[in-house]
Amino acid sequence: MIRFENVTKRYGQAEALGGVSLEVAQGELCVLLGPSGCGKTTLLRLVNRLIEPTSGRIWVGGRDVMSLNPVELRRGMGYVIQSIGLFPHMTVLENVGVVPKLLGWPREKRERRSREMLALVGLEPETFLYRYPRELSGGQAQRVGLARALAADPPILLMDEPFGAVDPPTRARLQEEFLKLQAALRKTILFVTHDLEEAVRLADRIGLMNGGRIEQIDPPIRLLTNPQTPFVERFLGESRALLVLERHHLSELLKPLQATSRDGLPVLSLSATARDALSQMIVAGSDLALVQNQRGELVGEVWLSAVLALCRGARFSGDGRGKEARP
Amino acid sequence: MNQVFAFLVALGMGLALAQKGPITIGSKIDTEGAVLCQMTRLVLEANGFRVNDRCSFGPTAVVRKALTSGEIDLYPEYTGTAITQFFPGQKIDAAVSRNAAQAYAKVKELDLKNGIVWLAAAPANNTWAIAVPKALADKEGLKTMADFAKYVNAGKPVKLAASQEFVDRDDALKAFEKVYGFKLKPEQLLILPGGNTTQTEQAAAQGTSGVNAAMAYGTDGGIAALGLVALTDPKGAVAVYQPALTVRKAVADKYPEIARLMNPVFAGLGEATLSKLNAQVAVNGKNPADVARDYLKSKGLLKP
Amino acid sequence: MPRRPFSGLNPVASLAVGLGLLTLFLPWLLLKPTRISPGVGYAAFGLDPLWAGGLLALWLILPWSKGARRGLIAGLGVLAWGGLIAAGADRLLGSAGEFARVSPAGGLWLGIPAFYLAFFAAYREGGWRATWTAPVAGAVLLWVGAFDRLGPAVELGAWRSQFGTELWRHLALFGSALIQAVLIGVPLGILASRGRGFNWVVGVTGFLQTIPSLALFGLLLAPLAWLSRVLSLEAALGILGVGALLARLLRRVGTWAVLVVALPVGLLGMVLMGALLFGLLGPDPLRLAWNAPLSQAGVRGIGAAPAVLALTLYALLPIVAGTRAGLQAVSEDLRQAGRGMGMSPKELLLRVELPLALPLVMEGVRGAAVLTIGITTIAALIGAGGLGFFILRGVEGGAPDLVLLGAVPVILLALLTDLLLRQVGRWLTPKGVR
Repeated sequence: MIRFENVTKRYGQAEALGGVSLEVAQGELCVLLGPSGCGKTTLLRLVNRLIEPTSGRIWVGGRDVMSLNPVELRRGMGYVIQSIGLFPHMTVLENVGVVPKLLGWPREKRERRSREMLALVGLEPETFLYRYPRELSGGQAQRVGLARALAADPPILLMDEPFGAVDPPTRARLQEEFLKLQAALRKTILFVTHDLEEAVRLADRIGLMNGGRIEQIDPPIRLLTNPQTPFVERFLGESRALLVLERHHLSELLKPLQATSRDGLPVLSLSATARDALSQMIVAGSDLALVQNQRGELVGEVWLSAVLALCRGARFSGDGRGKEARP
Repeated sequence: MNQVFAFLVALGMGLALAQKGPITIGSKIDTEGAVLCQMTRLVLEANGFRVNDRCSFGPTAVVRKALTSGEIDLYPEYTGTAITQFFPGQKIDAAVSRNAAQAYAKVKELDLKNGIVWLAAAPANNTWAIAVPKALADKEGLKTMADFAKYVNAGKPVKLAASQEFVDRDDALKAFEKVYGFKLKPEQLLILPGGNTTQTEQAAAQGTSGVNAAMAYGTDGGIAALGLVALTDPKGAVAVYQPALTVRKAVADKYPEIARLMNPVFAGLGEATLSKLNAQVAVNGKNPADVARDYLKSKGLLKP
Repeated sequence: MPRRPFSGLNPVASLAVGLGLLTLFLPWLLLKPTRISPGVGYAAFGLDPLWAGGLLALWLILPWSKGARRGLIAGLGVLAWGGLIAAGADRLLGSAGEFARVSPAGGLWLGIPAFYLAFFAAYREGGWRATWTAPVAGAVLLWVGAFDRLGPAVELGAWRSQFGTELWRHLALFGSALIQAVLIGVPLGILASRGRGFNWVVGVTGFLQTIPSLALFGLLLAPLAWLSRVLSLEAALGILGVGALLARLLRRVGTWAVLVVALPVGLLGMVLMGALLFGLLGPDPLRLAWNAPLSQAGVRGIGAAPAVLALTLYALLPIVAGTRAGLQAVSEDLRQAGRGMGMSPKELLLRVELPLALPLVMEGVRGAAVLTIGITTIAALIGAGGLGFFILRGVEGGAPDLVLLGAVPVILLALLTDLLLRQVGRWLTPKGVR
């Protein structure tokens, strides 16, 4: 769906991108991860031509973006940025309807669409439709931003640190809902973040970037277990093993309920990850946790041994060069 | 038949009206200019001209430029102003500028080359003068500039309020001093930068900072009202400033009746008359148009 | 806790009372034998002890009231103030000569800020319920003619026929210049906000403000007079059209080439538009004929055309600066968001940047408007009339009353314009950013 072919970008002498090739398949959520200044945002903006490449080509849906009208190209893809970028002088309704309006949709269709989109991102339309951005909380604003990007039903979403500006609990909830949404919508998504956990939690594939190049591009578990370069190993850090647990939900580890006493045992929800379970068991000092469903009924239990087995099952590589390279 | 005749007369009158003008008249933004301008307007309108009233629209430089560039067709100007300001390249003998008839003839001749025609001048001299409080004049017997010179030379207290221009120019205070033989010391002068005669006269009337003499114009309306008298200039020390209508030649040629109509009006405007008319505007606060109309009617120059 | 006698006093009201009591000891009216003579001052009790005593009493009880009652007392105070003026003028003029004048003096003037403060204190306590007395008292005083024997009113009597026309001219000159300045200044401000290459725009408009008005008129007179003779309306419009096309073609060559064409043609357009606007708004009839010289359409070296042009040039700076500041204050994130969503530069400007910049643009327009109302008085220098006519005549003739006849309406108009445009600015400010 999106393909970069040996793309470079220079600003004078400075090289922002040094020959990047990357393909994002239809329906895939590809996360561009890396420290600030690594070129991930530049790469993202090449797709909708907010930035134009110095050399190389970028294909979207089989067409070279440089051959397309940039304005129409942009209207065909959703764009969410870190500061949300909601227009303060427009109501939520108008904000969500910006692209439909640019596309010339009639008024009723825009309004109907705005209501659908708000409901989709979990905001009650009647409550929020006529509010102004300054009357929204950070999390609500993020949802509106997502609704706005989705409004014209674009096949591609470009997201530049979309959850960067909200507090951690809200961010976690937004990520969770975003994943559910993506499971239903199957958009092709290029997602920029500098947050490793977020990348691991969301990505189908992570492209880890450094100095204008992609160091390694792999599915999260593979990236965590098989860092290919010292930089990658260093970036993932020493607790990368724990992050593997982030990709496993308790449903995978669930055993039928056998525990006789529930006293002092942590209780987790079915959608929690193995990492959450480990953390809770450490807090409670137990080797067993209970799992409940959304209605609050206990549905099973998870043993510490099962969690540890997950780690053991992951074949970690890494020859220690990353550590040596450290000062 | 009668109706047709009336219609034809009306048509004829309409055509006649439409044929004359429009004449755009202007004046400087001072009292005398406004009065003369309104007189001109009233007389021309009464004789079938269409008139654009641009009376009192700006300082000398702007009004003159407006005339030479064809923006206005006529305005009242002073012979002395023309001699000192309009012909920078010409050497004009000071004696000429002090003689009314010679000055007028010279200006008329020179300005014709600029395409400006001077109609007959009024027999009034609105020139520089020095005015003193009437009480002082009565007490010291001051009537002429010669008396004033005697008074100054006797070492009696004097302080003259004047504009910088009046002090600096060769044809103003310096001319008086030279001809009548006196010399004012710097501490005997109160210079009001950019001051006009109204301000200097008010200073003399109020005795501001010990001022007891003021720069004035001969036909200023405020002199009597402020309890001052203007000292006469029997030796003709300073240039003559006679008001006259200046008309663009094209207009003067096209409408010779303008001169025919206006010359008698200006001929009747002596110093005393102009002074009185100016006073009605400047002192009594009447509208220049009303003052002009009343005067013209009283002289039979405008049908009542 | 023992109650101290002055603890409950409102400081603003106390200031008002202090000023109000002070006025009673200053001269209120000047009696002058003629309008240009020096005057003798008369203080409140020397004019009319009864009204003065009433006013004194009202000032003394004002601090001990609150809210609506304070407003009522201040309103009565305004009536007493006017009554004192009217009675004093009658008394002074009764025994004076035919041309004697009574002019307002310090005490009378100082009463205005004193009452303003009193009503301000009342407004803070009681809102509009406490201040309705101000306009009512003012209207009553005007209706009974309390000021009719004061110098400026007498001047108005002598100049009544001109006053209406000059007031109309003043407003028409102001309106034409402001409309034109907005039409030109906002696009220039947009241009100026487009970074690096266009900083000269603000420099140029700033430079224009430094040209003395008389010099500007002198510069404009000859070329405008020439234009008005040689060009007809159709020729001028033709030049505008050709100029616009040429400027568009020259865009490839460079900014300077466009400017070489655009500046003179733009000035011609401004002259035409200004004369046209004034013809539509002003008291002088507009005559348009295709092939008559432009002077027929009001474009001349003297009169409204140079005045509107000069006023427009003077009004540009606040508008350009306001527009630029407003646009530069729009955050880069919002621009990025708009662009990323597929807005063309024009759509971005119209839907995002300008709406957000509007409050600051309006601030610029308001500044320009208040400025222009005041400096429209210079139009009288070039024969365009307006209230400056009375000011110039008054200064020239040494008649302060005539100066006031021009100046007081200008001040009132400026205040009114300020109030009005503040309200307009509030209406135009998008709800979400208020």
